[in-house]
Amino acid sequence: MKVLFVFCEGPHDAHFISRILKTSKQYEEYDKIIKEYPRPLYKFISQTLITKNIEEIKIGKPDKHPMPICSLKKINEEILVLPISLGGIDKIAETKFLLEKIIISFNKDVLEYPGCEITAISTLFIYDADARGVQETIRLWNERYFHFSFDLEISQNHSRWIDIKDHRIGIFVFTGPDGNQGTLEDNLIEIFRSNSGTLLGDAENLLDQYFHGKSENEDELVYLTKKKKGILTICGQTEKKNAGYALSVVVRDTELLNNTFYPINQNTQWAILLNFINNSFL
Amino acid sequence: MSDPTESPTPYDKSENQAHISRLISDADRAEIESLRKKLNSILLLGTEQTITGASRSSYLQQEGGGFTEITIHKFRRLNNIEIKNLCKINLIAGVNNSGKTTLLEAVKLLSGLNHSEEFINLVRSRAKTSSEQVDIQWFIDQLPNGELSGTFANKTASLKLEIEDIYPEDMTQYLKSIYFDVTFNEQSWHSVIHFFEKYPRKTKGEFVSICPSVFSSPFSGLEPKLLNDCYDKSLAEGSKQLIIDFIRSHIDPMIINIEKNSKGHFTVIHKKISPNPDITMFGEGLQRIFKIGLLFAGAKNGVVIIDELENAIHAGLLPKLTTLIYNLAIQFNSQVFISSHSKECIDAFAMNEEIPKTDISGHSLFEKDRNLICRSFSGERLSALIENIDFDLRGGLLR
Repeated sequence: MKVLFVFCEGPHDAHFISRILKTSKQYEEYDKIIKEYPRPLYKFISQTLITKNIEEIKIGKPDKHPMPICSLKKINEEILVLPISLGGIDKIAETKFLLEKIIISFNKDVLEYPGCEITAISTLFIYDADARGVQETIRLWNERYFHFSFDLEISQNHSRWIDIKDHRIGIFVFTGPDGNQGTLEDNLIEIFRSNSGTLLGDAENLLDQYFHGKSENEDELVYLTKKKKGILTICGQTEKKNAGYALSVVVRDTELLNNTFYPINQNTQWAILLNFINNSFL
Repeated sequence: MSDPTESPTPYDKSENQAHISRLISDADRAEIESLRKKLNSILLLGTEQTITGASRSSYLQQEGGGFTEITIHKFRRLNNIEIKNLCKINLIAGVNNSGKTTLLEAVKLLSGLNHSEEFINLVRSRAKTSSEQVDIQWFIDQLPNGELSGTFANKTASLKLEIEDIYPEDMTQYLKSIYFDVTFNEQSWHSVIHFFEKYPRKTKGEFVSICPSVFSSPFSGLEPKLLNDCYDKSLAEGSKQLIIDFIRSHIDPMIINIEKNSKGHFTVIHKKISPNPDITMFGEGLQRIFKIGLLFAGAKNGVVIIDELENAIHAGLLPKLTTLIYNLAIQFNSQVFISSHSKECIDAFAMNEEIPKTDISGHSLFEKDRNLICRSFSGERLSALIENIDFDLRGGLLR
């Protein structure tokens, strides 16, 4: 089995990846209990991703160890995709921790070891371009985790795979309509707008009554992104008639995304993202 | 009364033999035959006759330094095995019959180069019986061909063993010869041992070793002479007290001391047992820890090799024992090679926070594409893998 770890900023990003993969009909949920995962992934999840020392956790303090949001297997192929939410682009320590664990644990000598059921590992980072823009996001990513000395110019699709020894590392950057800045939420708003009828407009109107502009010290784009998250959440809650839905659950369950992803239109950026993920292994 | 001036009746050897022959039973005959074989073994294996040019073995590397890498080009069932990143404590693991003991023997051989007595003891130890019980023909059959090389204290070493059955002189009782081609630090030596059925072996050439080395196996007892020698050195160097303290702290707090008596046996001074019992009255684990502890003094600036360390030792004691072994290795500037079947034992070394990770390495022997290969891991990587995926150096990943 080949395993792709997808490092996402938040749980809704991870669910978004999951939606694209499932809707493409090329992937399905990998519905196994952890101890049935291929060796040594089972141990890696149970010992690294899940805190093993319960005594070290403080009551009221969340466990900082990341856990895959979902698990997807490519149909008829031995490829497993594990999207993981790391809590944001600035969670550098958490990201380094997990990246180092993956690189150490699935080096070639382990993959060739007797009993190992994993044949290859890739890691994909998915970020929003935010106000930084695509190139600055990539520069930051390289500076924090890799220090590649070569030119990191990437394609117009804002994505690139880089082979480091036996490990494929990839980056994909979400942008808004201008193709340089923006977030996943910019895209979701447009998809919801085209598929939800009046739901999105109603949600926008509701939030506009209470949020009239950013606070003094707040970044404009951060303010707008938060507002968009609120709009998307309310839209999804209204669609499902369930006021308890969080944004990540909305992204996971909403039917407003179905028409956009399936059948995958080869000209859309989602098809590009799907193809990019499908190239995660040589 | 006989006349004292009378000449004694001439001794008739043949008549006496015939008389004795009539008196002994079939069982006696079997026992005599057994004794004859044992005596032959002692003659063959226990004694040595040096031929012109031979001299006592000397150590080429007085300061220690240890092996950094060893290559087993060919030795028994191991071929082209490279063992890299060797350091202070080197753990060897693998499934049954993967060649762990053979690898340890290769380390012992390369340390001893052409030291004839150590070579013979090593071959003989495979019999897992006392030296008197080793059958001559069995011993001859076990003589290995081999080719080993390595780097010790930045100096290259090599050893080539070749079995021949051509003896240029008198062929009477001749069995086989083993030729040693040895190099160290760009110098070379050639030597040979000739084995005969009923005569002492003959050796020729100058005998050299890289460094002192000791080998402990749970299945073949240590030579009493070696153990006594190590005891005396351990007493003089102060390490014996370290071992006694360990035994008292972790096994039996009533033990005051363990001393060697006039017959060379070890007697335990115990608060609650009188008279002082022999050490054999205590558990195998205690005896093994005591003897392994002593061995370090016999391998100062050299190599300590321990086969199946965990044998007879409780898993709960292993973490403490690893610290003792490391401390002894530091005290005597020894390099340690340990084979183990126990994940607890390997993990105890790799995860011991009192041992710097740079002083640990792990080496796994396993079969791949029908060939035995050795995969080496640094201490840092081994401990990370154990922590991350419960890695099993013994050659398989756990479910």
